[in-house]
Amino acid sequence: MRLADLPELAPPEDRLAAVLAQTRDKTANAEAGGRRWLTPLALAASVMLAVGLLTLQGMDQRAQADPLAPWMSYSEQLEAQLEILRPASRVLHGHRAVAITTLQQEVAQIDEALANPLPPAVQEQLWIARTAALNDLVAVHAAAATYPTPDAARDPVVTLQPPLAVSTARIEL
Amino acid sequence: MSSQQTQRSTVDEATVEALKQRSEAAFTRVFREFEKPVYSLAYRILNSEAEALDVMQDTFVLAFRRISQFRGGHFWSWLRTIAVNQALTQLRRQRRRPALAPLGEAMDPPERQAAAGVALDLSAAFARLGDQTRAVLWLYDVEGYSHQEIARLFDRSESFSKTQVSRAHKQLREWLAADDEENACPNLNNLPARA
Repeated sequence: MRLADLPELAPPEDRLAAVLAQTRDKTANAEAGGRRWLTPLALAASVMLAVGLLTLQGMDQRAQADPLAPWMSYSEQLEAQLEILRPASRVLHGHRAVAITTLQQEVAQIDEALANPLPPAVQEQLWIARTAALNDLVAVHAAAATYPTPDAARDPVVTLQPPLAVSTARIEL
Repeated sequence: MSSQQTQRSTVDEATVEALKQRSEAAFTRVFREFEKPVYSLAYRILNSEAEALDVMQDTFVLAFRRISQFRGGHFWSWLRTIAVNQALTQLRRQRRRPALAPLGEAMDPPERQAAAGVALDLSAAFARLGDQTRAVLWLYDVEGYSHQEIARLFDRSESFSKTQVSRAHKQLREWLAADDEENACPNLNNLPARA
């Protein structure tokens, strides 16, 4: 008997619904222009708050917290993964380095925006964007740890998303 | 390449196009076609049902999200690359048990069930290997990766891969031979040796 002859195993749980739901979410984001619009959104929200265009009527901090909790929790998990992956990964390739820098800047900008009081819907979008950016950071670091040199044929991470245009994007809400 | 892989159907152009158009029917069809091989691959590398399920889910989400990057050819090869990356990333993330864990410990069914009985079959013996060794052996013996490819995946030398494979074969032979003697269990002496 050879290892190759071992029978295929059936998954003990059906994850189709979860896959479709996640794919739907990501598709919706992609159709809306991916995360490209979210960084401008963060900046715009800060600016509008500063000039008083964005009003915060009856915001209840406790009520806001609930829908954000899953994103905060997931963000925390991703940051913990990054702590593990960063020392293991070698970010030598220029494309990866640019991607990582861009994603880190994006997270920093979102954090700046989140430091301000914002309407729940904006907060939620920002936390989703933050989670997505961290998720991509984990993916890039994991790829760097796995493949020292990016390879379009087998590296599904770096070759897929060109660096985001942060500073040149139009600010629109 | 394993016999399972050679028999595996690929995805036709129409389905790929439907995937790119975000057709949920196509997602469902492809998921059903490949869920078992992806789960099996992840399970053999990780030796954990829960982790293998998560890796399977992440693999399909990533694949469907990145489908525009698929440039034709064997869909399974492309999907498998994603699955292997996800599984190895998971392997690195978790604090894994040391090599040669005692039988019956840190094992998921069906390995735990096998270990609870007297017979030690190839599946249970394979599950008993250390995490890294098990992953290397599976990639080499079953998935058909070369030592060079494995070395790149693990960021190690080719010698590392060769040594892992050699030691794993030796260890499995010993375990299965011992089991064979104790239980007079046939057909377990012919261990994998890829040409």
